[in-house]
Amino acid sequence: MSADLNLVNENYFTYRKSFGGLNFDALVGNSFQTSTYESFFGQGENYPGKTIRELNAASVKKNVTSSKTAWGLNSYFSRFNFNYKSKYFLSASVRADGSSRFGANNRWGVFPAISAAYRISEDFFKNSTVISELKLKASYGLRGNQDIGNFASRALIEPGTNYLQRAGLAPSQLGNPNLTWEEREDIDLGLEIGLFDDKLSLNIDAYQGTTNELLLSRPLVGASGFTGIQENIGSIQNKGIDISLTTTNIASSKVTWTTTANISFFKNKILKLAGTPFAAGFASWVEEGQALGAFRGYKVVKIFQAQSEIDALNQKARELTGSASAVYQSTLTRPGDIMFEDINNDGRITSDDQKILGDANPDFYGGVINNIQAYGFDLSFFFQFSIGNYVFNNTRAFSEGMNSVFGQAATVRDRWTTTNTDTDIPRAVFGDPNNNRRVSDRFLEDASYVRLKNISLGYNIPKGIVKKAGLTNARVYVTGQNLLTFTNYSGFDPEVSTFGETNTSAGTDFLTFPQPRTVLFGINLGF
Amino acid sequence: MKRAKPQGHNAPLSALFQFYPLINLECMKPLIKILAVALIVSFFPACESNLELEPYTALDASTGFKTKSDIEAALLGAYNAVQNSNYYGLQMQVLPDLYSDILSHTGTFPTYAQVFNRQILADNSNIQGTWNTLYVAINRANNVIASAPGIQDASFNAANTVGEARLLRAYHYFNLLILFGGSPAGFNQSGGLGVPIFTAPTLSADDAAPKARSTEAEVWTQIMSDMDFAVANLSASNGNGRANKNVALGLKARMHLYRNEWAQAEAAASEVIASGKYTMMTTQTYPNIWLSQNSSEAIWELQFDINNTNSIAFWYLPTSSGGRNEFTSTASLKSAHEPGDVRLAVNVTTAPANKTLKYTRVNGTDNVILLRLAEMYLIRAEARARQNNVSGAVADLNVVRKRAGIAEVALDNANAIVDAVIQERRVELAHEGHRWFDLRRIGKWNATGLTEDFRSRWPIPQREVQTAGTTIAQNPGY
Repeated sequence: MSADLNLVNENYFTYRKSFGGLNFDALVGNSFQTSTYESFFGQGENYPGKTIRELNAASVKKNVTSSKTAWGLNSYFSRFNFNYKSKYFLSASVRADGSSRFGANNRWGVFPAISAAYRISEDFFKNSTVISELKLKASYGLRGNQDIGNFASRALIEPGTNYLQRAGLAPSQLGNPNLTWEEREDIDLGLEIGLFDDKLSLNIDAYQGTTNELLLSRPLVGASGFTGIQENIGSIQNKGIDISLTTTNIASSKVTWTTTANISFFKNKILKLAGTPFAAGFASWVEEGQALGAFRGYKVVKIFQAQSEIDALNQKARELTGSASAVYQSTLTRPGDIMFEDINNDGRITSDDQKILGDANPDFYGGVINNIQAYGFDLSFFFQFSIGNYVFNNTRAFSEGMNSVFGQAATVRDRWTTTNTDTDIPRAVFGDPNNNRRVSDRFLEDASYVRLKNISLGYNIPKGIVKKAGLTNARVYVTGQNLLTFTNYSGFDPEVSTFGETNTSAGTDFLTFPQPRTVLFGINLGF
Repeated sequence: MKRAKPQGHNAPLSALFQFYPLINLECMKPLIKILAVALIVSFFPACESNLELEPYTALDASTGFKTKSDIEAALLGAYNAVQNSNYYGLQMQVLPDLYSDILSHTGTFPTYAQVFNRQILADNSNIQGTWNTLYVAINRANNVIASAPGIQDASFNAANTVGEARLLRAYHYFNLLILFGGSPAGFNQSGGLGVPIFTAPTLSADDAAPKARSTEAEVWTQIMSDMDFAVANLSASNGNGRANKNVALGLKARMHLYRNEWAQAEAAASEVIASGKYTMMTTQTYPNIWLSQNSSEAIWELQFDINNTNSIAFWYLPTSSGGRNEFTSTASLKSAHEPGDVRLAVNVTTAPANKTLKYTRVNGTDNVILLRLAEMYLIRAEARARQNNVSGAVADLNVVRKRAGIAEVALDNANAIVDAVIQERRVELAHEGHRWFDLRRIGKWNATGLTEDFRSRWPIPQREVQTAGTTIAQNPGY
């Protein structure tokens, strides 16, 4: 049983005025918000029949717990919009937000934004037959993010650490009275161009988004008794260019065809990270100077084909380390096992032989949409693509790990054996003593793809026929989603991520349910 | 259930606000009366009552550990840490038993396979969990130790409480040392590696800053100062689920044994044996040490119950018994038993095959014995043999052998007796997490086929080394 109560009290004034081509509007207001969530759980068994459904009738009371949490958000905001003769545009806003989630010293954040645009075409190309629209726009804005736990800034002692059927208490969280808003600073510069009466329009946007005061759990040494503390630990920058081109290819009374294509290039980089680099997800790695979404691990060199190769490396390990018992990888390495790269050239594979292997961010991505209408038919299809993004396919660590007795993928039929040596899948051996299954680029895949995301075909039955049937309109259509995907990615779906919105471990696939391929037939009838 | 509310759906708005003071009338009234004034006014006097919320399901740390009952709850929390599955709720027994010759890995987890194959990677999540949990346990003990002296309550027995917490802390540092520290030759040797020492509670980010590893000797100094305090201050009885004076003496006997301090080990074990509080179970009732729990032999027995369970039996038992068959007794453990040994049926069961009677309750209520009388006899037997007290050593060894239903030995060579004790410990203390540390402390880590001496110490978790920057050195070889 749960109850979610959300109370919002919002007040604002608006003011509008137009004179002499000048249009002006303004808004000021505030809002107070409180959200409270309560839940109760009780479990009972052995009821006298099925009629009474309340817990009072259960003869065995099994379990009971309840919980409650809350957050509050107070905001003051204002916005001013201004335009002169639909030629010059200026708008500015500022808001101050206070959140209960942040430390007592730093609850409030102030977030201004300003944007301006100038329709050059109104001044210079008023009578041009070629240039129908030319607009330059620029904006700057700060946004706040409070997406953390309700009491994440508080030092807490939690119940539940019981012993001898008596209630225990234990410290569970370190406090951070300075915890404050994460800030996203966006600078955008854009150009809109319309040609030939807007038959062809081009939008180019260059942006730089910097997230400062990043809200993350900073890892602490376990020896402190805690593994992390919620802090504002760094900043991340996204830079990129979005280009979008819309063309009207045919525009007659019977047939229209428009195409919109867009492509985005972007780079992201962790500019600053308070504290040391840390691992996330299965293979993800967060480190200053690297992209958010980087993967780190061991690097595969090859599969050992003969014991002599292993012996030679072991011999070298002994020479380099001066230890008579030293081995390159493991005392149990045998032909068919993976040779990992000795990155620091110390003759042995140790935890230092890990490096950045790639990242989850595409080099570029985008899509193409075509809309065609002709003689009552309409067809639209949307291709989407993403190039250069890597996915750590942790599903394969299980389905191709061959470390114990459970179901494996058909690909392991091609595993290394003395008669099947030309393969990149290692030998099968119980317990995997060489740790072939360790985090390495063995499971990292280029997940570039092109996908027919959506296609839709419809037909509007002519009005004459529709009217006879006593209807105002009738349409039949069929749409399909995810019908075609072109990719070398071996998992179910190159577009998914196990950790959802968790941006420290993007591009990870672990038994993720793929997006469905759907085909939908429909009829719309209007009466 | 939610607390009763005075208003129904049609209650006046003001009733709602009275009940939910987070949006209070002080904020609302001016808004209702004169909107314009209110807006201007409300920009200035920040009406922040709804921003000053207190947690409902936890205590703010500034309010905690101030009264006698707080400290008692904190101490129970400190015991609770020992029950964690990363500690004596599972890993502290099974990881060392897998690494030696007690358990085989028959399950699917690569992290256990690494331990069983003695090819542990520094990012092994089980090892990381155990390291972190041991230090969580230390921090809980540190909180009790730091807070107890401030309690002004005549009925509060501060000496006993701090004694319990200091014993727990010493126990944790001892376990850290034998897992991650020392040297390949054993413990209390020159040049032995230690672990970071935290003796004050971590209350802030600054307190949590990484500390370098202390030397093994420094860690022992810390352990022994806690143990001496515990022996001097603990009550004679706190129940066998908690530390008491005999628990402190028994643990001290174990620690001196690991330190090759034979006379002190003998003295401490003798004190526990002579206390008369514990008696060996008989040959016939031997399995009842576990099947009936809380036997006359238990000195310190970690208590689980249906609301506070462990998963040890679940990890051992086959799927047909509701478990996941991750661990199985080794064939060599079976053959280590002499004919007629009643312990065979406990250590290597027949149905289900090759499990143990020490963990049988799949509902998670198996107690975990941390210290029992048989170990005291075996500690004293070894300590006496090392001091050439052959007859005394043989007598103690035979207490355990006779009870197990096997022939008493008549050895007269001290070294042979030590070997016999090590073998006896393997069988008597199987599945209790002792074997690997016995091999380590006598420098025989290679007895199970290990060839690389660096693997006698387990890796400091990779996460710890990385998070510490350059402050915490990895064990050599990893």
